[in-house]
Amino acid sequence: MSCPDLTQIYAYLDGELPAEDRLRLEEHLETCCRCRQLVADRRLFLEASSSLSKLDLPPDFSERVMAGLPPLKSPVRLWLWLAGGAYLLFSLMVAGLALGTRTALFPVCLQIFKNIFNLAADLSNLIIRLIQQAYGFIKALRILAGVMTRLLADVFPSGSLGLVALVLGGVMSLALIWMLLRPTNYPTGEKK
Amino acid sequence: MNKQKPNMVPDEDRILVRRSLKGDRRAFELLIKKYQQPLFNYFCRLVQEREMSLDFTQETFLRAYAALHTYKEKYQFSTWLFRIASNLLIDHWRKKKLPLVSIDAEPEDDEHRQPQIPDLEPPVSDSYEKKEMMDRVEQAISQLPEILRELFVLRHMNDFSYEEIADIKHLPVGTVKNRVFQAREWLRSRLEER
Repeated sequence: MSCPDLTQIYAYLDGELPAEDRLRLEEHLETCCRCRQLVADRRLFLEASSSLSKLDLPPDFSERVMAGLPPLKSPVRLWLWLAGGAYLLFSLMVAGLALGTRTALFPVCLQIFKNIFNLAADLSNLIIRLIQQAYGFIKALRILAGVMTRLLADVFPSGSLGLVALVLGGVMSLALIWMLLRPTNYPTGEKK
Repeated sequence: MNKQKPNMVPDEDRILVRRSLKGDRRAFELLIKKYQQPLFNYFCRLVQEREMSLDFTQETFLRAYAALHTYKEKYQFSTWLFRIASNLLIDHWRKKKLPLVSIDAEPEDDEHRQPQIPDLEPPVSDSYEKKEMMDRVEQAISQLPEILRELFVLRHMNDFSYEEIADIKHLPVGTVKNRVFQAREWLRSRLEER
């Protein structure tokens, strides 16, 4: 082995050299006086660097820090901010409209109130219908899945085998349909 | 960072943070007592003014407490705390307008540079015993460029691993290793000169 570079020597001293490289380097150190000196020198330097004296803290330091602690913040949830903001906006709007009904703007504010009410009613109707539709769709899917599972279990002893057979059957049916429906150009035997 | 917490496993920090978040101030005091000395040493070596180091140590804990709800348990508490300390220090250096990028101006192959053994360098260990060398290192550290000094302190005085330092400083591990190497050799060359 040729002489290692300084990064390898530091990696060796940091204990970060892979076992094989470490053994090779140690073998090299037995024969190379210069590298041995280099390692001893860097080792002493690193030991000295890691052993520098600790500086003293005042004995009441932690009490001093504790006395200055700010109030603890609780985790802020985004949805809470959004809900709070929406509620505040709604309240302000209602308050503004309510104030407006006491002025000359009464008919306009009343109309806005009516429109908001209608909009809210329409929205809630839409949401309910969407939920109903989704529920119906999921229910239908479940029924279909149940029927298919039972069918497969009855026809085929093994589920996976059944699935493979079903897929193959489907592909073959599609191929058959395509062959039947494709435009034909059979030779008629007539000579031009 | 093994030297300062021989009897504590990282999970204990997480438990203490959880208890602190529930309002247990005693739990946070235990965290302060555990990390005050490493943090103070870190600041002392980097700021080199005792009173300012005390202020910075205190400020780090205050910031950590105020932001405790943002701490994520997938990280080590020690690296999270030192990241706060490091940011505090960077702000301080910026205010003082110190040349923070003195080593960043180096070429881009920062991670892959392979320094070779200089020819016939005089061994420092011939001239100094360990105690004497400690005094010399202590004096020489103050002359290290700030960024190199911070990484050297984190590695040698706070005993963080290269991976932990990379986590604190948001740097690739290779860059951290290379800069610690530069800091070591820079210091060693100063010892040689004396």
